[in-house]
Amino acid sequence: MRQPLPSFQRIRILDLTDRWGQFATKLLTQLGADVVLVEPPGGHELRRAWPLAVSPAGQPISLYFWHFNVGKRSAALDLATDDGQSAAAGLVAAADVVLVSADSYDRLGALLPGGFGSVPVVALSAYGLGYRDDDRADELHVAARGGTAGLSGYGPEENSSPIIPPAEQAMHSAGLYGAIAALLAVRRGRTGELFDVSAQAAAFQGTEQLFSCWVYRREILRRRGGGYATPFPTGRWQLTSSDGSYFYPLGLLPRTQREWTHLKDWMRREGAIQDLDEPAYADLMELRGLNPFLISAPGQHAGEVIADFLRSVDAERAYREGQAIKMGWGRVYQPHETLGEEQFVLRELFHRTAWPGTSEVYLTQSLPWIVQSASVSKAPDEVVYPPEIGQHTQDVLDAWAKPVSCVEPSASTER
Amino acid sequence: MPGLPLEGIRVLDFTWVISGPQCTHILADFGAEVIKVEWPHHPDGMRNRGQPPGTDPESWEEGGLWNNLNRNKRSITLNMRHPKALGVAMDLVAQCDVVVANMGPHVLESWGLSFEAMQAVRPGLIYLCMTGFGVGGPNEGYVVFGPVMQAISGIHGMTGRPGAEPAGLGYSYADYTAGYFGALAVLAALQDREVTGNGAMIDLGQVEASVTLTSAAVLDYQVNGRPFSAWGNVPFGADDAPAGLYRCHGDDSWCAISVRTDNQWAALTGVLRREDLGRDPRFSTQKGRAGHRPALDQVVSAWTEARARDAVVAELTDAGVPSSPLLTAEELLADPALRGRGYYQEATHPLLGAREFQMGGIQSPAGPALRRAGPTFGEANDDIYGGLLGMSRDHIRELAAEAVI
Repeated sequence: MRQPLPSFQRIRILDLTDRWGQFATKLLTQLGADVVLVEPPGGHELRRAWPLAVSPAGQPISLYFWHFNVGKRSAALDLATDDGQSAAAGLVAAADVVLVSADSYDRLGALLPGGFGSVPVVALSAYGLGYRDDDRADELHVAARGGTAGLSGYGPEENSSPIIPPAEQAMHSAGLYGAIAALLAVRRGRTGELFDVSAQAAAFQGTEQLFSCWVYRREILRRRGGGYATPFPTGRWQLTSSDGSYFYPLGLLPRTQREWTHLKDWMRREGAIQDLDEPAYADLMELRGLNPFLISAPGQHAGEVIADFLRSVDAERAYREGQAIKMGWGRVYQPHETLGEEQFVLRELFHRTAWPGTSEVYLTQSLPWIVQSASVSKAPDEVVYPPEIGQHTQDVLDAWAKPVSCVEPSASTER
Repeated sequence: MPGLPLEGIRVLDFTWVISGPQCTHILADFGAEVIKVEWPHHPDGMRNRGQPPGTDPESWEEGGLWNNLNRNKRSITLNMRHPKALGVAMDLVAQCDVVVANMGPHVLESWGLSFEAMQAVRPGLIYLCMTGFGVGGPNEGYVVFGPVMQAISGIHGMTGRPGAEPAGLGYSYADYTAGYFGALAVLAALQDREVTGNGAMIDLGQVEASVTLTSAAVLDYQVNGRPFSAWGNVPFGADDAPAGLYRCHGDDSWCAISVRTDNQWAALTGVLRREDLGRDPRFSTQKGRAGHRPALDQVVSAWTEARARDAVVAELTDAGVPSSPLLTAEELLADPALRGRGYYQEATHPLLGAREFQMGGIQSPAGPALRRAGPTFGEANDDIYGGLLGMSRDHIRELAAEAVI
């Protein structure tokens, strides 16, 4: 199932990252690795990051920190002291991989007598270690300089601003690459290699056609309000449904003649077929043309009729009934609406979490896959917690001082 | 120094479009031998998308995006609906460490390639099955593409100006994300196999992959009862103000500006020759400025719109105000941060010629390494069927004549 891989409990990951690396170490934690977050005595900077909640004791709780740190262990070290530096050196030497920010890479590299030695390092930063630009190391600037910002928005034809991608796309993309790099590093062993992850490069990699359209065709992609960035105008695919919700019928026209027949049947039943029973609208391929972005005039009319129909239906029904006839359409959900989606409940996409010392249990996202293997068994659904500052300092220093073969794997979520 | 970390790992690749190919190109970039299996008469639709002007629009060999996504791979043809194909496929599976597919649920099973059947010929096999919603459940059969996954996962709804209609995303972020997760899952399973010897089937839901990216918004709703509200062009949770993308003089020309500190604010008011704003108590603190974003945006836009983007960025940078140009594709190709880290590597395709490729988010001595451009259709049939499976030339010709390959 979605339980951690027991074999990963022997993999020691030292987390010295900032915001750019938090998703990478979260993923490694979810895979089952023993991830130790090194914090200054006052706590990691992200413990104060928005969004915040207030604990029963009246203390601010960063939900951001909570989300990214469930299941990690915390070691509080004061790197300004000899003891702190010595402890850090011990943890680095005992780690299989160290994940760092640009700052901690510089700082620890200078502080530790042997630097990182033969321990592989994964560094996550805005533009890579070779191009430091701390003033512009946030999602806004990385989106502007990573190609993602110009592709989404309300469209230049509407004289409106482009909109940067949501929910920290660059950080998440960098985090995925960072976790991949960490597993490559584990596989590689103690070669002392540096894996340099750039959020800008990671963001640009996911821009789909931006690179190839320019390199191969010298075409510039233009954002389309409620649509898809293309070099030429396309339809507006985002609609407002009868209940006021937004609906995204990608391309509007179906992909196969069979789907077209089913869609027309549905529209006819609903009294919304208009003139689409006329012979001009019989053959889907005639309507679609050679390319989904270059639809014929009758095809555009058919799309308008479909759009009229969808505006008259509530978004949830349009989504479910459309999918029942294989229409690749979707309702625009808010993030929290996924919590109640039966599909995700049945597949246990979310796992239970709580803030230390509190009894309220909430749900947070698991890894997006289910593993079928003799290595994993269905274990009870445990509640996972973020660590308190320095909660595991001594445990970690004791355990990591021993060779890994002497250490009994322990669930990092135990309290 | 050792070779690439995935050297010796062989991947049988039943993927198409974007998410699956993105997964397998990461594996290939770090040394895996990826054998892409293609239908003899119905190739990946990306093969003939986005060709250079003047090339045959029906050509299967000159798609730019396809070339970028499928570098470092080999291509063989195999018609899985032919009765003789299953035996050939099983012979291939027996020689591979990993099978990856991103077709609908149960498609490989319908061909006779269930996980159990494949494991019987290749113990320890890792099978990554990428589908829209995963295998099982009421949404198993749903048809989803990247932008639709973004809509139903919540990501699309998180994009936009505060209080406005969602803007959505203009590209298939969800497909790429699913590909990255797929590569991570395969690497995790390979690592587990090193220790335990066990293979695995990984049932990856691509919509689930996007749901994981909605971050702390899900927790915020539960703990604070606060539905997500879009942040426009202000980074999630930031108090920066003014902050965002500002129109500059010229065709669809924009720059990013963000003011965090009081010193940056003072510098900005100096550049704008609006010292009066610096004395305005409403804007004297970061929180105060964040509470008056629309008014500040108006002032900044009025200044940027009259100036060329590069002049705006230069003047603000000189003054110590964080600003960046919104780069075009052409500018990204020249960007010093990307080019300086070796993000672009070049390989020669037999028809497309020498081309640069995007090499992903990692740079290291362990890769990525560009070894070859995207494969032409079925270019490896002789190497794989003859070399790897040991078929005679006559046998290969026979399979081709019978439209098996």
